[in-house]
Amino acid sequence: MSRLYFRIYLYFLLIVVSFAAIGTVGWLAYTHDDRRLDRIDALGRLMAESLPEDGAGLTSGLERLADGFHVNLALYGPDMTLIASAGSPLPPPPGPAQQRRGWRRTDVGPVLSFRLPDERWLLAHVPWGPRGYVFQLFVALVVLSAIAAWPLAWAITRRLERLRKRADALGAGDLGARVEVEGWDEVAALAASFNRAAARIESLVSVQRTLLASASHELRTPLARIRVAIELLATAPRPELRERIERDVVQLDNLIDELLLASRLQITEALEVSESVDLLALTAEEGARVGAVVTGAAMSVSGDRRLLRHLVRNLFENARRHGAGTAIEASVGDGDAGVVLHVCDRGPGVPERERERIFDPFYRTAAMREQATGVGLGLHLVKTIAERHRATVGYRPNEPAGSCFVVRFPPDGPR
Amino acid sequence: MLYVLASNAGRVMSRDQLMDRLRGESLEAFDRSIDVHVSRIRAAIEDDPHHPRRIITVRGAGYVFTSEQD
Repeated sequence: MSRLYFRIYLYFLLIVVSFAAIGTVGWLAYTHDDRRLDRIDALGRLMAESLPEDGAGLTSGLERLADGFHVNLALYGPDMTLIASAGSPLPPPPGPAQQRRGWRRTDVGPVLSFRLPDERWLLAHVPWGPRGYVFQLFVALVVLSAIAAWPLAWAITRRLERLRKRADALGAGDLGARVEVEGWDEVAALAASFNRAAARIESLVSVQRTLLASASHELRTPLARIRVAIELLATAPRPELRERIERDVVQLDNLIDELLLASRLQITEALEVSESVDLLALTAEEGARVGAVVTGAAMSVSGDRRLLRHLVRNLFENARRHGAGTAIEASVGDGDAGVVLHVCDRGPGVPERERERIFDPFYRTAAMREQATGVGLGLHLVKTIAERHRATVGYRPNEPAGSCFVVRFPPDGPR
Repeated sequence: MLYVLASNAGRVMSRDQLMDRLRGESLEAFDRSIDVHVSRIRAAIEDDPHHPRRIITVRGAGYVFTSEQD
């Protein structure tokens, strides 16, 4: 964590120092340009032409130039004697004549020396000359950047640090751990992704927990019955007890199937396979198991044949269980858009206040709770499978009595 | 006919479709209705011909040979 923090900060410093270095190299390259001296000589010649030879005119001419350029000027003779000056006097250029031209550092600041055609020297001092100013600017820039980069690096890594803490909390088992999403950048997007993942994990775990709790409860009932039956069998070998045990084992088997399917459908969102399925044939096959009358036209939907069979079977089982022995009718036909499957019975139907909830997992109607039948997973699985196939499932009362479940498949298949 | 139904298991075969597929076969006395043949096949292969589980009637559409394995 702190390593990233420092790395960002160091990169920032490195960039600023590189800029400073490039600027310095550029400046040095300019100051070592030979043509620069030619330009200075040319400028010196121009100034010499505008200056009178000597006398009072010389001083006033110098003053005019000094005023115009905002510089201090001093004129020396070839023998380094001061002839005239404007503004504060400047020290004479030392050293051999050829090296006196150009910029040089002095006690009062940078001074530009011109050699005039008549061997005189004109010295110009620019108060706060360009070189000193640029260097100070560079230094100020580097210092300011170094200071500004610190909170910037901190701001970026602070949110990452918070995200890390939350991820650790999630990993430690706090499934409610979420991060505040600040701003619109990548870190905020990461935080939002983390929240989505955490929410999905939380809901999955909670569903699995409910599933497990209900499963243990539901598995216990037939197991208890089997145990009692076995105990009774030990004393009196009655054939109906054997049948009861077999029924209970089948019920357990179906229950485990449903639970496994429900938990698998919770985890995966997409269909594993997608093939063309003759829905009418499937409905007819499943209808034959419960003695239902199946009508309609041959219609195909694309999807997972095994899941669709489960859907249809659950609807028929539901009709058989709650239809109170009445005739079960199913039809497959063209809807307004796509294929529509109806499975209807003429039983008591579902009371209006319970219709909303019959597709919820582990929801059992009052009648079911009374009879202690079913887990409340069948219709939930129907709904989940239908949603996997982008189909909708609805309930409507049958005329004059009973229930109708309507599954509408989209016209273009699931994907 | 059983072959045609079984090789189209899981698909509803209408009476017309069955007739079309069977026309090539030189079956004697095929002027009798499909339904009679179905009930004969059922009598031969179904455990309980009155509650067929293998060849299922779809009212208004035809017959389907079950594709289920169990």
